[in-house]
Amino acid sequence: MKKTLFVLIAFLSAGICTAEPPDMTKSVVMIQTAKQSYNYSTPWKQQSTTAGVGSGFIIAQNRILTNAHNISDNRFIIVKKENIAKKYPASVEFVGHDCDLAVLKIYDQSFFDGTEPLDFGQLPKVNSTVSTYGFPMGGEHISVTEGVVSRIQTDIYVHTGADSHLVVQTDAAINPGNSGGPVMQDGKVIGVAFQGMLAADNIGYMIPTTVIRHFLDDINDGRYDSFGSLGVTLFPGLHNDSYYDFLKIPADTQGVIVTNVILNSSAEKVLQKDDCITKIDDYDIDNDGMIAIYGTKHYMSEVIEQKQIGQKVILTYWRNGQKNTAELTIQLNRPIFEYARLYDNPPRYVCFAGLTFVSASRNFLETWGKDWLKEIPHTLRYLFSDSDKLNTDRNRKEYVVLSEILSDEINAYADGFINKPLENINGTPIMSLDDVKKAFENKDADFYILKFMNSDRPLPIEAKKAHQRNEFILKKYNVPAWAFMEGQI
Amino acid sequence: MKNPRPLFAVLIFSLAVFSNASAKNQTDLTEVMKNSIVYLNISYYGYEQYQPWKNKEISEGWGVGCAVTENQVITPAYNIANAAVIEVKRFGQNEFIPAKIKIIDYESNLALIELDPNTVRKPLIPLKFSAKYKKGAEVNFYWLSAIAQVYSGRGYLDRATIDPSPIAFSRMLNFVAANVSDNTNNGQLYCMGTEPLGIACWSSNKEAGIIPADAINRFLADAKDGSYNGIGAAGFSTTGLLDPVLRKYLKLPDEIRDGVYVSDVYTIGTGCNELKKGDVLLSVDGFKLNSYGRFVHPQYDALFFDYLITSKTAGEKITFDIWRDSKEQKIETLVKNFDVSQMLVPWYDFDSQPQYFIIGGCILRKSLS
Repeated sequence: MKKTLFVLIAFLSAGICTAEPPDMTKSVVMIQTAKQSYNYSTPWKQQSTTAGVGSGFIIAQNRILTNAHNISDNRFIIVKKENIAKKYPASVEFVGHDCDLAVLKIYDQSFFDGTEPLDFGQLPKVNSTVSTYGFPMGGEHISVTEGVVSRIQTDIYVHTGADSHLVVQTDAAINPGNSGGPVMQDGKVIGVAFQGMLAADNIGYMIPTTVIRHFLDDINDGRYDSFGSLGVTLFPGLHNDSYYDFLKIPADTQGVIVTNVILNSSAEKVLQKDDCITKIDDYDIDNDGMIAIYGTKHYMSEVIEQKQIGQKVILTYWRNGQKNTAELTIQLNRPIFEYARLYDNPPRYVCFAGLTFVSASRNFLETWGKDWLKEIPHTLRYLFSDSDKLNTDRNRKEYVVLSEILSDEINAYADGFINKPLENINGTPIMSLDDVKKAFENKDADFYILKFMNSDRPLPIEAKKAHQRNEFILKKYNVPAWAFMEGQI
Repeated sequence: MKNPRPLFAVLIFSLAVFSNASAKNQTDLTEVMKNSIVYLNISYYGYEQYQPWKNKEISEGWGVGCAVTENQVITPAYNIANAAVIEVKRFGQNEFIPAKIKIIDYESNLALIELDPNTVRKPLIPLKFSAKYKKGAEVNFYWLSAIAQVYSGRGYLDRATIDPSPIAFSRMLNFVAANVSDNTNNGQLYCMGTEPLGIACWSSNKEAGIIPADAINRFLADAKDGSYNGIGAAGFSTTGLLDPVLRKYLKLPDEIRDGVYVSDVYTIGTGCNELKKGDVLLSVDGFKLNSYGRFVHPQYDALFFDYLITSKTAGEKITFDIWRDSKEQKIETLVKNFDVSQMLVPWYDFDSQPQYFIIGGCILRKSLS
């Protein structure tokens, strides 16, 4: 027995000793980015430029993988190799802000001379050793730190502040500048270092290969579509025994309750409120909404995380005492009031008669500063947190807010309406910025009567005078155009 | 060099005249008030809001009562909100006199307290609130301390104002005394010369709010027959009508320069059945409202029109001149009010245990403002 054990250990040791560790100087790169974001309250303005340094690494097909937050809102990107003085300009080929990953391309293909692309491994085991590589603060050369995998769970990705995916926690030091660098195990990338916990010692996180693979598969068709969802809000209600009787679910069943089906989602055709989902594909769902996967328990969303938008899942659910099975197509299903921070694209706006209208977004709310969630007007807070329940109109594309008033005689009495969401103009409901633009393009009415949410009085604007003043106001305040409607809603 | 003596003499003369004038205006009613103001010792025993079957810990406070009959005193209502026991101490009587609340009106912030006639050794001398508002006039205030000593202080009448109440829905008239020599917020008696002016209801930054004589006299008249009707409450809200474009849109002619926009009409309160959202309120009881909603009161100068509702007793007549459907219209109606419990989210709930029920360990209760 003793002899057998010795042989096994010797074999493993030999294996470790004989594997050539990759020369990471040939794969890990420094990324320097000049950034400039937008002002979401005065949307034609840009903020001051800032400079950022992060890490990345070379993968197959002469691509560089890094974090989206290293290159978001970029104006210029430089990639540098270890011990090589030359700086190579780069551009973003694909970016997934929701998963904080990006692929860069470098036009000068000589950059890749002498480099070695890294391969991807699997999800690491808890307590296994990992090494992080990158260019963190405190020096100019590649840094390596070692630690173990502490735990694996689903968590918020702070880059957008809204999207949750699997993360791997490690005690290997991850510091500013490490972001985008590879986390290695057995010569393979098992994660991309991307965020840490400031209030703690040695709690760093990496993006695991499950998420990286989803991103890389997604961009195979030349476009990034993002992660999808079921399009429902779920509640772990079966901890309460009364739910079993109320929803006529057999006593030994485990699952989660549907509390809301998102408007315009593919789930509308399949699920309804009070359905109890018990199985997703071949995975049984427990009363916490967890499934057994990757050798442990994770949220059932992990099944959807493995699939691309447009792919299907099979759901088993109980409704009115009956067990049903249905196929559901995974969709993007973003909320009407976007929770996630937006990057890269200039905000859309309408600026008419000095009244500036923007889409209600997290970026706009964050213009209130660090404590924005406390400081924002209560109507906006209510819409932000509950837009999926408050909006019952399937034509709504966004909420529109009066973000700024460029003072002029035409709007001298409009101050009381600032930061209020616009409800209608001359009785026509405002479902998007396009509706605002169309309303002001209509010159038939004598007045534009603007009605705002939670405001008892209307704001009337004299139509003819407003059109006369508009050009003057735009010129006076250096506004490049009265409406900018490009980009996504 | 000129002789400086004549100038010196003039200065001394002026100072003498000034100090004579100051001394002449000062009135001290400390002695007079011994039989008209009392000390209130109040024990509070309210209910916890999250677990409403529990009482809060007993706390104690104090206030001043001003005699309005031989055994009745008034004090601000907020002073005795959630009072479990009120005991009265008066000058020259060592033992506490038991007392009970006869009428309490949180909207006008006044309460009538009746002293146990069997324990009152000699009748109180009722005060007559008769002083008229005079901007800039010196006012004195009086209170009886826990050790039965009458204290006094002074200040100056700065303004008459209609400000939002910290608790009540109604916006009442308050006088504001400035540069007051002590904090007065729990019923201290304010006098102008020898005439009672009102009772103190709030204090902040060397200023004090005074419930004026008119409000006190209305309250006492209302309470006289034993059935209390209460003050009027607005059944609508307004916003300023400064925007000339909104006036144009509402087709108000140029000669009508004032008025306020009726921005909301409630289901309860004065005007709730008669006014409509979008009306322009031009005048109340013949008093023209400016674009902020103020009118010129002959005595108090500019006041918000709320005064014209809250200074009346429910059931009295009131007239609104409005602009509706491109023409002026007159509405005659009666002043109404409502119990705070009729509000969807009541602004306050004092003196009673909050209603609740518990099912499956979940506590359900009415939402309070």
